[in-house]
Amino acid sequence: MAYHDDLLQQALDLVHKSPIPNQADLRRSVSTAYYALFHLLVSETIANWSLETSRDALGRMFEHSVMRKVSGRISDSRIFPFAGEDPTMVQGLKTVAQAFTQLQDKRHIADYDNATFWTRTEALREVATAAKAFSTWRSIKNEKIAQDYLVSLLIRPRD
Amino acid sequence: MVPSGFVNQTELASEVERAVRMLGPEVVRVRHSVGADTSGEPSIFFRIVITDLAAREETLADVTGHIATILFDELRPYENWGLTPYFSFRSQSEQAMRSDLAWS
Repeated sequence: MAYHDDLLQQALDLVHKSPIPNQADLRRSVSTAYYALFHLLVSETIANWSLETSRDALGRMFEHSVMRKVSGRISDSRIFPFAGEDPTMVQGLKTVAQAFTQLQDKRHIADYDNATFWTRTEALREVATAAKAFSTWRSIKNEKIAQDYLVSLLIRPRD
Repeated sequence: MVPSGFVNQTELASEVERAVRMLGPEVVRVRHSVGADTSGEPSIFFRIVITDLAAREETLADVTGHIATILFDELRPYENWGLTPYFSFRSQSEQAMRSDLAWS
């Protein structure tokens, strides 16, 4: 399996690790779910680079904050009206972009905020969000709007 | 375009209340707050308690996805409020054990 698939499985395994999971397992699960989606999008982008030996270097160019900003803008129909596009594909892209935005915020809280208590349902929901993004991505990945999204993840948007 | 730093909290609460009425019986309660997310963007945070039946692993993704979609579509948080939405879910029994005021 690819690294991002392994990460998604690991996120789920952490939630299931014990009947009463501890905070470390739940918080690592949420964090891992985010990184699963992050690495999926990175790997999908760099796969388009024809020179295979350069792909890993290209993968290091991604910035979490840029990816988040781009993903947030995708859901704003004032910025991206997607006129004339297939509504099903647009909704699919928004599902992936919204999952990225949500998971990155939750990842930050899970990794750094000791005041936030996580329940099993909360953690499982984040893993499910990542899993849904994975399956949705597979159904839209060949669409032009999806490929445009991948490219935009590398470009800092102008405010 | 709504300036993201200015949100009429009363009007927003009224709109959230209207949207919540569209949700099904699997939703026990919805609480929300407005603030900055971890990147500093103005955001709305939903804390949603659902029934234990709805929180089962087999149905959790569909149930929570459906709830989030209804709230998102009804409120249009980006377009109407300049807010990024975030959704968190707990089961009724989890919340009963924690008695977390922000979720009560």
